[in-house]
Amino acid sequence: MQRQNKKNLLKTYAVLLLAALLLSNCSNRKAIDVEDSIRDPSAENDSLIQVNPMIPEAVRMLLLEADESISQGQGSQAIMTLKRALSISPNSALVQQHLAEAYLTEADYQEALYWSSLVVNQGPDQGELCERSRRTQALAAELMGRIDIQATALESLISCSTRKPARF
Amino acid sequence: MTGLLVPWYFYINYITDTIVQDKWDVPSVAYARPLELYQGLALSPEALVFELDLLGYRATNKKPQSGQYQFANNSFIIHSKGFQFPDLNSPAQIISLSIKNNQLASVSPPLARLEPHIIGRFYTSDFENRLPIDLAAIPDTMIRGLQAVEDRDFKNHHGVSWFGILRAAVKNLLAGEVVQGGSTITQQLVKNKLSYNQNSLLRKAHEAMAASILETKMSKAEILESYFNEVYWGQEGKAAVHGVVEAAQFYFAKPVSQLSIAEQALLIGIIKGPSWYNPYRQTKRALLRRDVVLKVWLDTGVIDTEQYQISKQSALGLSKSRQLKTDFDDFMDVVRKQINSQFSLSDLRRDGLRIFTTMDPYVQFKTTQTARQTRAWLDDTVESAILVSGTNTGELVAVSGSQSAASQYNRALLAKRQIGSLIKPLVYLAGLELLPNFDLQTQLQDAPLTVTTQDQKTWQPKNWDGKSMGAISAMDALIYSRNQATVELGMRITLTKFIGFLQQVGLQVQRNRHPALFLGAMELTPFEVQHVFGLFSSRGGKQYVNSIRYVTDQNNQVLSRSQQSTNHQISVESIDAINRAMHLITTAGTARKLTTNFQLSGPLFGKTGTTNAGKDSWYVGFDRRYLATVWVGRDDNKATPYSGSSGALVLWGHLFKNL
Repeated sequence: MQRQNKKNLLKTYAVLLLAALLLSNCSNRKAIDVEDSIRDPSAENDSLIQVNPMIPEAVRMLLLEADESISQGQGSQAIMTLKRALSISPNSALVQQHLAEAYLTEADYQEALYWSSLVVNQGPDQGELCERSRRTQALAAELMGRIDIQATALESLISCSTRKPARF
Repeated sequence: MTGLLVPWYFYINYITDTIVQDKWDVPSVAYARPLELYQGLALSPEALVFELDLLGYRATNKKPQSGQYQFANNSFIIHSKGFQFPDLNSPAQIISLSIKNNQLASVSPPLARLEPHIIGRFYTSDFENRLPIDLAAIPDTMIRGLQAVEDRDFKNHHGVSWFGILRAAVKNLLAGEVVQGGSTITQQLVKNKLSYNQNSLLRKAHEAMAASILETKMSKAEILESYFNEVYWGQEGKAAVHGVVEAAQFYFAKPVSQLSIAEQALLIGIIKGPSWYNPYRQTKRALLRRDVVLKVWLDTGVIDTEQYQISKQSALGLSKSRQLKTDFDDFMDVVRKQINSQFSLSDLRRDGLRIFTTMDPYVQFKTTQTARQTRAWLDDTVESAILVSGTNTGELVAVSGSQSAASQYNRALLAKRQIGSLIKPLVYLAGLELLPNFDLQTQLQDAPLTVTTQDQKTWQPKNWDGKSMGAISAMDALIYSRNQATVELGMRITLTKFIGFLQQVGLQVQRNRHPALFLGAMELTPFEVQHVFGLFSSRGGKQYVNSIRYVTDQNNQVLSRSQQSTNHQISVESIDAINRAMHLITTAGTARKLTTNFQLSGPLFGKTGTTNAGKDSWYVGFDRRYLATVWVGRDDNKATPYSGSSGALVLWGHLFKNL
């Protein structure tokens, strides 16, 4: 009887520990190092020719300014700069991706998921931006506990560097 | 019992706090979007001059100083004034630019922005559109006169006049019904905050408790000032008139300081029942009430005999028209609504907030001008509402709630109207998303059909031309807005699944609806329509029409806002397919007038909508820059001779021709 009680007590402790771990994971919103996790320079990309998206010079300046802010740990400043860029080029997948990454650094996973999903759905399906958007989407989804979205994003990552058959 | 009393006390305490904190020392300011200047920006010289004039810049032939600009041969040199933006401080600087073919050909520096124009101010933390007035600016006769009529014991009681209540109770008992309120001025002020419709004991207890607490938090003068700024003074259509400043404008088109004794007496008199004593509708009754007030004032020494005689002889002298709206007022209605829903109450209670909106003053100007022409282009019985937002961004740039500057009723935001065929893109989108093996090439039957409704009645939808086209593709059925084919598709989807789909895109529809829902038998405001079509224009990206970019406090710190998640999960491919059909509507379908008559260039997308007997005429469409919804109809919901393409589309065409 005593042994049974001990067993039950241990079980309770185990459940509590697991719950505490899960809860701590939920509440511990960590900032992400975008350079390391998303723009990984070691990532090989043998996709089609890398094309620099056509964006106005003003937007390019704002992207540099936002990157500078992020490197100085001023994520919210970067977000405002990127929103300004977005008001100039609302369709730019590059700006949208930067915004997703800035939100990721600010641990705002919901916004990061929203903007990266926009790039995944409407942005390029080949190349670096394609990969970055899917990595961002996967990471944001993971941190929000959306394993289904994470899995889909990771599965589609490979398609960004898959050569498509020639159409002629 | 204690368990109920404690939260009750806290609730009452909270109510009184909101009254105390209602007025800011430093008003909040709302700004239009700042004009960003960069190479490639679509901008006409006319639009830039409009913006500069609006910002108070002056043209000069000399080297421009701060706040001046030089303009020659489509080249501008602007000396900006500088502005502290939320993201950075933009100092005053020289901006040189040239415009070619309505596009900025060169700009130096390569990215510059002008300071944003102030489009409105909020003076109270509930963001109502009221200009408060200090007690010192209100005529003394009015202040003393209010007490003489409404609450003679005001100076002495502590929120509740027990004698007043006793007197009212005796009168009510003798009459066998509630004939007298016995509320003090403080209680009436509280009543404005507590929304109860009937005279119940609970409400009286609430009022009495709150009034007693309020008297410990505010001085008598502050209570009077709040009262004059808060009290309900009548109704113009669906717009309420609150506060003495607005009441003076509404009834007499005058500032408060210039009201005559007789006019003051009328205003004080109608507080008792603004509808019962409505001077526009019940002239005799209002006149009698005014004279009763004047007599009370004479008896209590507020006015002397001479003033009484002169005032009693004077006519009501009502104004024929209310103060006209500015171009920005309708947009500010949206800001007011959204700021309360997106930001926390505690943040919004701070002094001196800066609200950075998405309004484009030039587009707003053109939108207002278009609305004002409604009765010139159509007949003189119809009203109109127009909303314009960014195609991809969902940012609202302009709103017009009426064809007239005199109408305070913002139809763009408040008028719930049947949407007719505007529903069709959603029916076909639902088909693409929910039905296997369905695409826009699928054949539908545009033929007579009989549908049994939930109440076992039969319903036979007809086409607008009374004809049936037989077997047609879903694409053609959408382009030519065929009702019978659409209902056939709807029945395949099923009503239940379609209602679920509408909820998925953010529309709340009651269950147990009639299959006429497939033909747009549902009511939406133009604002809600704009929101729905934002789904198409942004290719699924933006689900919400938004009027606010940032709100900052006095220290330039950005306030956090509630999240607006997009959860529609509709595929881009399906949206693109509907957009292809909506493009063909503008070249070959019901909106082809845009390309044939108006000769608008660039790919256009849109859908017309008409309800029975032309009660509502709609057109919603977008190009690469703007999405706009136009509604035309009568306020009394009577028939008009207009369809979507002969009514609303005419305004849309003119607007886009001028943007």
